[in-house]
Amino acid sequence: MSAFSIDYVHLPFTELAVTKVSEQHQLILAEPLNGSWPNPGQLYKHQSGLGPVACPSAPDTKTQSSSVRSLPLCPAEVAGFDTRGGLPLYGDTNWQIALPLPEPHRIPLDPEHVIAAGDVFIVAARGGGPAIYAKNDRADTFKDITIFTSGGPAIESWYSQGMAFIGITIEPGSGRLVSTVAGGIQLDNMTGPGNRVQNSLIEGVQDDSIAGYPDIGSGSVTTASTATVTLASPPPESPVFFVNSLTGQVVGGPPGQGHALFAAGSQTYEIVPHLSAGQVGQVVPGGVVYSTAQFAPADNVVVAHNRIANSYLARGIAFSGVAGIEITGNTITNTQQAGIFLGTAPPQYGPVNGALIADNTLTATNMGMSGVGTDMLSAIEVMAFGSNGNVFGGQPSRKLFINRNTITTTERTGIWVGNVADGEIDSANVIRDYALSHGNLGLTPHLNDRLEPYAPIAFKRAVFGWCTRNISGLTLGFCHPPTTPRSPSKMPLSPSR
Amino acid sequence: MRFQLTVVVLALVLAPGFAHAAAPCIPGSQSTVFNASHDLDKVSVNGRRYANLQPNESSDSAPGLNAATAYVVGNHACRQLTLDSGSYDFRTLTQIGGRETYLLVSGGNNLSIDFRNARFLFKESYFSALTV
Repeated sequence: MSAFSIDYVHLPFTELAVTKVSEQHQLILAEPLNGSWPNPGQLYKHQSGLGPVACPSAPDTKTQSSSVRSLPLCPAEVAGFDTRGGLPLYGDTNWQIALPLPEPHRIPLDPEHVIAAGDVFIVAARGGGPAIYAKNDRADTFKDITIFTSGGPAIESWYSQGMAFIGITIEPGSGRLVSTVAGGIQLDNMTGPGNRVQNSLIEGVQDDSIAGYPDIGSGSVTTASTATVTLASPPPESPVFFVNSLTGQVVGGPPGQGHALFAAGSQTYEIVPHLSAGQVGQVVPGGVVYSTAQFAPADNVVVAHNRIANSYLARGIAFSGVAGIEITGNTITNTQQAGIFLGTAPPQYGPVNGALIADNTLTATNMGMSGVGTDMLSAIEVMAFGSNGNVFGGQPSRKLFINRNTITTTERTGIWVGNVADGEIDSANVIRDYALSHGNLGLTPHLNDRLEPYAPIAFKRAVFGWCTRNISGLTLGFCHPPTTPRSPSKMPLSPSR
Repeated sequence: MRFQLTVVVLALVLAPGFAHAAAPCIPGSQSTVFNASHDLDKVSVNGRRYANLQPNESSDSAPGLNAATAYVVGNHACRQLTLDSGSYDFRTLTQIGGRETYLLVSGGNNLSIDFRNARFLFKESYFSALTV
């Protein structure tokens, strides 16, 4: 499918010119930009009939937009974003605004000494979409398609494989500052290999620009002995391995020996070969079983030669629980959270295995200072968190290579690698102007409590490792409980401060 | 031997697309490219006729383009769906699996869709423009 553009008559956002800011009274005064944009009340009145801020008691009018005007108004929230000089202030985003407003042009919020008269303030009513929705597809190609806006992501692909998105342009329409009020391209619940996002432009979106995760089978372990395991749900395909979702400890392959599971009763399975007593202790409580098939050598995801710019919120390129991923040759500029993120969070997001992050250029990424989250540790971040939100001590993820990337201007660490065994961070990575926040956690830090004590120290590093093992080029790091940093990183760094 | 022959014949008869093999993509034409701006009025879709889609008009193109899509997906002699360049407006929603969408492409193996840089303008940003 190729060669067309998508735009909408009724946009999911409006643009307002800020005329006055009162820190004392916690409000801003804002008029529709150029007199042509709707005020928040008009935006809300329209959108409220379509779903994103609909009254629960309102009749179902999703297919009858003409009846919008007859709907009652009810309390709802929309998101506010500040822009200056045509660019989003992605570092200090976003504001939640309760609607309807008491007066159309008086927006009650804490300006946080960020919003200033003369700024253009965006009010976005996120909901609905995406512009293109694909489900249960195999080997479809979307090429040379331009998407100017959407109430949801620009493209969502669900339960699909072999999907190619080539030459996709997601950008604000003429005279606008925003494209979608959600993400760019999302590959959700990928069911197989061969997914590609290449040569695309994603600009001005209000969530992750390119993101996804695989549809991997997993089962939570309820009890275990050396010979049997009881699972809360049917197991994935054998051979399997176990990851403790509380500690990150791994039992079985890869690359060790996987285990086969044979039904031995209701929800009970014989384990072959049997576990040792020590392994049983690592599997319960908190064990999750995954199939080693997750680590098939196929290229599951290729994200190459894309350009991401000026996102209002979240990450540039972000994938979780994925194996066989290449993120190469991308240019990422101006993001609130990590420019490139790979994550593990059992049970839904299993280990990352076989990842190449190379030849990417990241400028002003992970610049958010309105509160640090777990995806905001560095410009390039690979990290795992447990099912309880805590940091791991184990290394469930394997085979990570971070080579020849150029990172310029970031508030915290340049490259943060956590909970990975085997791989390389080569000496050709160049990291400049990092740690601009000097370890500052932002206005309202919401890091995991067990990580927070180390963050101000770690955030002053160009390259940082957390509970890693056998990562060539990475010799500096902590684990929980913390260990003493050993020797400075071998990286050829050129810090500006 | 007879069994094998029977299997082969049955396979040919039951093969997807075989029944359509004799039906051209466009009546009276050898073309496998269906242009919704020129060919839509030549075919019937679910017993109904549709006017060709004209670019740069304010009329609602959703029913016509959905009909064209359904036609080419169901006619295996069609290899490509296209239309004339220009702007098209879409106002009518279609329901599919509890979702509303303006355009629906359901099925269509080995089918390419080339909209020739057409500009599609949909009414409400809350709804999906295209569902595949």
